[in-house]
This record gives sequence, structure tokens and C-alpha cells, in this order.
Amino acid sequence: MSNPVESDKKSTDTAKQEVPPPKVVSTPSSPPPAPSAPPAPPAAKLPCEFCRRILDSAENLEKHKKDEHKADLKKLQALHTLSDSIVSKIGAGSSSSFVKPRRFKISVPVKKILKTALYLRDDIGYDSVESVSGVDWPNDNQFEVVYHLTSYSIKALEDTVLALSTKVPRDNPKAPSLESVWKSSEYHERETHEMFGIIFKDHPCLDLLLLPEDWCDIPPLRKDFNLPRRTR
Amino acid sequence: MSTMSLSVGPQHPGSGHFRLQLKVKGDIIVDVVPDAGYVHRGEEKMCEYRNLVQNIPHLERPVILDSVGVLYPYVLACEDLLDIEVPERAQYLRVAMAEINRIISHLYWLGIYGIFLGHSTMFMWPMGDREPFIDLAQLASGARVTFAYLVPGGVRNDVPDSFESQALKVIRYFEGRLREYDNIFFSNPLFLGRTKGVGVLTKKDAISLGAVGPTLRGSGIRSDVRKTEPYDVYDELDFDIPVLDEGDSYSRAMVAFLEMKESLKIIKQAVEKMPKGPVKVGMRGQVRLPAGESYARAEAARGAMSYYIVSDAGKFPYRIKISPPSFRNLPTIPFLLKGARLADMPVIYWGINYWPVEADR
Repeated sequence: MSNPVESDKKSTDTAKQEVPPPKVVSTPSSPPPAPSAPPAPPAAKLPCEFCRRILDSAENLEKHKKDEHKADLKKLQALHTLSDSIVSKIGAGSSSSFVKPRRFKISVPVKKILKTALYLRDDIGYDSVESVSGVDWPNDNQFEVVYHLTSYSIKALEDTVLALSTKVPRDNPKAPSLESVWKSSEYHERETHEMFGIIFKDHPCLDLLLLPEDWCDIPPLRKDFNLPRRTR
Repeated sequence: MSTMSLSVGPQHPGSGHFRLQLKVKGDIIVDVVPDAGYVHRGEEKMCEYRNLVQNIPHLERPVILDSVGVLYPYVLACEDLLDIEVPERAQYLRVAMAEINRIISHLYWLGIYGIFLGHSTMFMWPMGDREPFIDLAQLASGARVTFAYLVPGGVRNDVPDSFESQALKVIRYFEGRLREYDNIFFSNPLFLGRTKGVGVLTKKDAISLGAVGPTLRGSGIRSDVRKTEPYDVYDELDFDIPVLDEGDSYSRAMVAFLEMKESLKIIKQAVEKMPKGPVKVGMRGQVRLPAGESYARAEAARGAMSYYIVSDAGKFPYRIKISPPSFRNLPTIPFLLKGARLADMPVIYWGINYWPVEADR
């Protein structure tokens, strides 16, 4: 949390800018001239480990560093607000997995992923996919697909990566392709398809890309593809 | 006129371990199918059977030219999970090494770019000028190519006392060389004629295709992880992000060229400001990552690189996903080649600075 003066200034700005975009639900309580209403939710929300940590470390610091911490905290709280507003917009089944400085994760059911993606692109401003990762959870009989989103056009979101996660059953791994929303996800989804066997519906091309074209084994990044046993 | 299929690579000297299936009509490229994967090694799978320190040497293999850049987001992600603060000297050393490596990588690219534009001098000079920087990195790490210098918690070892003076000497030498590069290559009508207006990538397309690095900044988007999300001590150093608006091969090459100048500035400040002190956090008995996940980004030589690490507090990481800049730039290649002339193919392809091994992992 050693943020310097320069980016500190920026982060105060961004914190201010970041509050407006979630123009959903809590409009009556969010206007700036209501100092009594907004501070209450953060205080109640302090169970957030990162907010608490910033507050704790702020107590024994010099004056100028305190301002820095205030900006950090403000930014984190703005992120909490953004995350909550996205979750409430998407509705039942979606949840916020974590919010930490510069990162937050939202899980949505696979049925709502396309709608969520469109909302994030058009209303929030996430315009690019940095990576698409599959994660195999054999104990839950599920695959998780995580889209890491970033924004070039909204300055306030530049350093804030949103992990959009969805889960598909392991025995019928089908998810809608987000290629139509973010073109940048095309090759990442193709890779996730060949490494995990997840079928992205409406994807333009799901041919093998990195694996040899005659690959006839199970997808190699699944947990039941046991590397040491095969290479012994 | 009938179309002809043409397979460029994977043995073609100009493509690296990568194949482009082209369809040409006359000398106009009408269709492109990129065929990656010739050097896929399953780095992500290997990570799941090695602990976080054992992962270091094999993770830098995909990008031996930029081995610090490729490890940077990895150590940042590990440190985020471990929740450790890196000593200040180590942060400066990492930044200095990352920039030295950026120059080494850019010079290698420049050499190949030069020879594919038919400029042999520009092949010889950068290859020769990599040498002082490699020597400098060797002084710090002991290795000439794959340094394995960054470790979670700091750097592997401290540098000798002569590092600062040696670095300043190399910087002085290379500043003069950059002026000569400008005269013989970047202001050369041959270079201008071959690159200006060739392979234009607009701002909108650059964002939608997910371009990164010089390809993104050559299209007029001011985005560099070192500025947008400064890690280590980048926010205490004074440097610029070169951005050009044209979006053609010329601006992509110029961005890379200007970046080398900025890297020199960063190395100079880093070695001068570097405080004394420890260079790593002791990690004894702490090689397990705590449960959780982390996502870290850093600016490697070819662009933003990110690691996604999921840990279940086991002996090895549960899942590591690498998102390398070359893989993210891959969609721009077919996009730009469609409609271009066959003779412009090397210019566009090498202008993107696509590194097949990095993309395949």
C-alpha cells in the first residue's frame, strides 16, 4: 500500500469518477451532499479485510501518508459500490467473490453471462478481455471460466481488473461465447476449449490451435490428465 | 484471377515456429489463417507439478529474450498471495533488469526487422549492441540469456559494486548509438517507404482485437502497465510512454525505438537512486502459496503480460494461467494481412513483433 503522491492524486480523481457509472438502484442515497448516509454503509461493510487493513495501518502514519491511505480507502469503497451495483443489476444467482485493491471478482450463472457481458461493456465500460482462464474443480464436478476484463476507454477503470467468472458442469461443459461482445476473447476462448474441452456456443472457430491437430486424448489441463503418471 | 494457397512457415526463416496459411490473388492477400502451436510446451500444466521457486526457470523459457519481463508478473502475483513487501533495493534492481531486458529484446527484434526490410546494417548493429547489455545482465545475474533473476520476495542475488559504473558506461555508449540508428535506419527513405501507411490498425480495432504493447501504443492508445498500474518503483521514476497515432508499421517501429530511449532513462535513474540494503525476503519454509487467487500484470517488452494464479494452499499452485502479449497480439496478424500485398507481409508480421514461443507457451 505504498502509493506515491502522483498516482495518489490520480486515484482520488478516479475514486470520484468511479462513483457515477453505477447509475442503478441506490440513486436516492448516493448524491454527494449526503455525508451522513454514505459513510454508514462503509462502516457496516468494514468486515472487508482490505478496507480494515488500510484503516489499521493508517493510524500510526504521518500526515501526508494518511491522505494517501484515505484515497486508497475511498477508492476501495468506490469499488465496493461498483461491485454491489453490478451484482444487484444482474440479480439472482450472481455474487461478488471478492473486492480488493484494483481487483474484484463477480460470479454469475452461465445463463446470465452474455447479458452480464453486454452490461459490463455498454454500461460500465469494460472494453477488452485480457485473459480467459479455465479452472478445473473435479470435486465440485465443475469447470470455472474466468474472464479478466480491462478498460482502455474509461480512465478510472484502467487499473481495475474485473474477473468475471461462471461455472459450467463438468459432464456437459457448455457456455455461450463472448466473442460477439469482446472480439479480443476469441483466441483465449479457443485455447480454453482445447485445454479443458469447454464448448463455447456460437464461437466462429473452435479448431485446435496450440495442440497438435491429431490430438485424441482428453484435454490436457483437466486435473485428471495426470502428468507425472504419463511421463514416467 | 484464381486464388493460390501459400503456406508460410513453420520452416520459413521469416516466421519463426509459426505458420501462416495465406490465400493470394495476384500479390494481394485475400485470406489468412494463423496456425500457432508448433512450440507449445504445456508451461501451464508443468506449473501444477512444481512449487513456486521451481517454476521460475521453466517459466522464462518461452521468452528467453525477455526473461525478466516474463517473470515479473509471476513474482508480483506470488507476492500478492503471500502478502509480502519486497525490499526497496530489490525493487530498483528488478526495474533496472527489466529495462535492460527490454532493450535486449527490442534490439533483437530490430535486427530481424532490419534484415526483412532489406537493410543488412540494421541486422548487424543491433545484434552487436545487445552485447554490452547482455554483459551488464551477466554482471548482475551470472547468466547471459535466461537470468532467473527475479524470485518471489526480491531478486536472487545482489549486484557487484561495479554494476552502477558499468551501467552508466553502457548507457552513455548506447545513447550515441541510438542517434546513429536514427540516421541510418529510422530516417532512411528505405525504411519510411516500406513502413509508412502499411498495415494500418485504427484505435478502435486495436482495442477490440486486444492488442498490447507497441502495437497498441502505435495506434494512439496511451496504455502501459508501468503507468496505469505502477508496480515496484516505477512510480518514483521519471519516464514517458511513447505514443504515435498513425497506427501503421512505421509508428509501431518508432514506438519501440523511442521506448529504448525511455528505458535508458529508467536504468540510469534506477542505478543512481538504488539504496543499500537486503535484496530479498527470506522464504524459508514458506514455499506454499496461501489459498486464494491473484491476478498480476506487468509490462514485458512486447506488451502487457499477466498471470492468473489460483492456489488451494497445496504444495504446488492449483492453476497458473499465462496471458502473454504475443498471444494477445495474434488476432491483429490476420486482420492486418488481409488485403495487404504479399511483399508487405514481413513488414506487417515483424512490426507486430509476434514471438511464437511466447504465444504457444
